[in-house]
Amino acid sequence: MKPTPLTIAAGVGVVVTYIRAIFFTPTEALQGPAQKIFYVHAPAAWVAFLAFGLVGLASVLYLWLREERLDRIAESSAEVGLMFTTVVLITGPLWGKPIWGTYWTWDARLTLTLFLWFIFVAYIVLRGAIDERDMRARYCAVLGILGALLVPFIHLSVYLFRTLHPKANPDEARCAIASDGDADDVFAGVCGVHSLVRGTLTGAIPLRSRSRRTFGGVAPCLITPSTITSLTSRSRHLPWILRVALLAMETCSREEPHTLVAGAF
Amino acid sequence: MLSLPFFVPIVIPAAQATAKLLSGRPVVDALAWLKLLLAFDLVFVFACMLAYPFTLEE
Repeated sequence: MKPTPLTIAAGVGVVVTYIRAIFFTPTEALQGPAQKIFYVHAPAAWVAFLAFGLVGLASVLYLWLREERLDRIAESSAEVGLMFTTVVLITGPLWGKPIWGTYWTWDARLTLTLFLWFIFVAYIVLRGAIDERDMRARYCAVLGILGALLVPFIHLSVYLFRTLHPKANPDEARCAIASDGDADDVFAGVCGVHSLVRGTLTGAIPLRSRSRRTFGGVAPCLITPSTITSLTSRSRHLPWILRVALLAMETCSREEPHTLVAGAF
Repeated sequence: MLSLPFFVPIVIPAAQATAKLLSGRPVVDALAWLKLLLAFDLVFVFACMLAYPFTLEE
């Protein structure tokens, strides 16, 4: 995939935000440098959940409208979600070792996240297992919807279960991260950057090359603005306005996705 | 195999609620779990009823 200006902007945003997150945020008093992994972990989790939500939404719409493009969006989004769940499951233990003293514990949240990962691995496997395009799209849509419905339960598990996992409330998380207002911005920015990376990743990873174009451009639109604004201003609404504008631009300018070869997997 | 990941989120609260009740704690203690079970049931029963026809050949 040829990098679009947006993808390049996204790439630069990633580098800048991470430099800022790593070198220019205060070190947390109790956890020390280990806490900096939050800047990867939490945004990755949000992006993953968002991506799975998008799988569910696109799947519902697919079953309703039967438009092939929606199926491709669901597919790309599942890959992205899977990728970021993998990131979450890798960075989590890396943080857990110094802080909890163990890489893994069969805690509700961790277990559920792992099983969510399994579900979407199964989703990808299922996609590869069915040759007939309509049937594949239908079956995967059903699995995608049911998988996406699990996400809220997993999110709630942190509040209901007395788990080791820190609360996933952004406000609390930010308080935990630093009292410094600067870190606040950086955190928001990093979240943004992640969705951006995910847009770029779908383009870069030849997992399912056919579907990447559908999604590659959309994600940077959603996220780049928060990177930009996190670095420049503190306005809450600006990122959203920018996001909508960019998304509209991207949707209008995007060329038609090339034809999907039926049953090619 | 695929159903196992879907069962885990319901098995955990079910086990927790049962443990609470069996150890003689009041029902109120297990209420959060029961609510979660109820929500899970409602969501998945309806989702499955709606989604099932799509898994059949047309």
